[in-house]
Order: sequence, then structure tokens, then C-alpha cells
Amino acid sequence: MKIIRPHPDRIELAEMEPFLVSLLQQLPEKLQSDEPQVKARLFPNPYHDNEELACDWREHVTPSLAEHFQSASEIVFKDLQTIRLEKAGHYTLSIPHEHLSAWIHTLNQTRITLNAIHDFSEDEMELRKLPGEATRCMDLYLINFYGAILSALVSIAQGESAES
Amino acid sequence: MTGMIDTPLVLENETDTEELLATPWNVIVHNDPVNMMHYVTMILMRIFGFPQQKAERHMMEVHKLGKSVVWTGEREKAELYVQQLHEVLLQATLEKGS
Repeated sequence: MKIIRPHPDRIELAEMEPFLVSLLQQLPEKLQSDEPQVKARLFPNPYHDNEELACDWREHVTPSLAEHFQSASEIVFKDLQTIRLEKAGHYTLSIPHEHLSAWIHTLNQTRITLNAIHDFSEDEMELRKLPGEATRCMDLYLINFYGAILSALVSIAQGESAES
Repeated sequence: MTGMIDTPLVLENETDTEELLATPWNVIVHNDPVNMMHYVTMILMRIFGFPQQKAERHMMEVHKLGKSVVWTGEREKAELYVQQLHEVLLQATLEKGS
């Protein structure tokens, strides 16, 4: 798999094998979670010592955060439907440049969600120790796979910040 | 009797509100095991307009010490910054400054 920028208007995840495509296509499923620890991480309380202000925050800010997260993920899920088969069984996904922030956000949100569910140890996150249970192991793999793509996309965004 | 009790209570609340608004508030970014270091640096540059070196200094403080006070000032603006930090999934809280 290659992450390239063939044109300033788009970024491409190119030469993807079917297995990697299947990992990308798990994004919508992995992003969904009603676990309380996930909600607590995505919508944290900024006031630990003032319940009245915390209540105001939950009422006024949390809904707009939820909307923001949803609009980013909808962009990504639509892009995922455009993955196309190229030569020799390899696939390509074109990400329009204006979707870059949505992709960075959704990949990051998915990684955070998976970590909130499993509460991986530092040793596991650093891959010094692999989890014994299969689902934990697979989700840790996904955190790292999404992390590799995220890292490349952040570098692109960072390069643009430095230029402007 | 009611009026005599009500008046000081209202004044007390007003004083509380004034104190709340006048007190400087700290915006604190907390460490988390998932957010990448260069992502945190980029976010701090974008939201606070920090030069890269300053953003990296705060990022390293978060990474090594677990948290960093990234901004201090009036509550409304501090809340806006925390909201922006939460939008990009950084863990941030508000605390009254000293």
C-alpha cells in the first residue's frame, strides 16, 4: 500500500490489497460504540470541581461535538464507497483534499474508541506485548493500521500548515 | 422578611458570578495513550497559533508529565479553546488559576 499525492486536490491510498481494504471498510462498525467509557472519552467533562458548569457544558457543548463528529464520519463513509479496483487485484481510494480533516478526525476517533473499549496497556500499545484474546489482538492491529494512515495524513496537513 | 433575605442572597450570587468571570482560568491538555505526538503539536499550533517550538514544548510536557497548562485567561475564551480541543479529540480541562 502506498499513500501518495498525485495531484494537490487529492490524496490516494493506492495499491491496497483486499485484506487492507477490508480493514478500512471496518471503520464504520468500529466507530460505533455505546460503551460508557467511550462516551466519557469522546465527550469529556472539562469541569471536575464544578457540577453546575459541567451540566451547562453537557447541555450546550456536547450536542455540537456529537454533530461535528458525525459530519466528519459521514464524509469518510461516503469516500469508502468509492474504493476502486485497479490492476492486478489492487485497490485505490482517492480522498479529495477537502476531506483531509474529516479523515484525520475519523481515523483518530476510531483509534480512541477502540482504546477506550479495550484499555490497552502501554506495553500493548507499543507492541512489546500482544493481547491474548483474539478480538483485542485484532483491534490493536486496527489501531496501528489506522495509525499508520493517520500519521501520513497528519504529515500532509502539517506540511501545509508550515507552508501557509 | 422575605425581601430582607432575598436581597443579600442576590448580591451574594452576583459577587460569585463576578468572581467567576474575573478569575483567570487555565486550559489544561492531558496525556492520552492514543493521540500521536506530531498530531498534538499540529493541533496546538493551529488552535493557539503557537510557533512549532512552543507547541512541541507543551506536547513534550503533556507526554512526560501527563499534562500541560497551554493557556490562561478569561473563562469564556478558555471554554472556547477547550471546545476546540475536544473537537479534535484532545483531552482538555478547565481549572481556576491561582
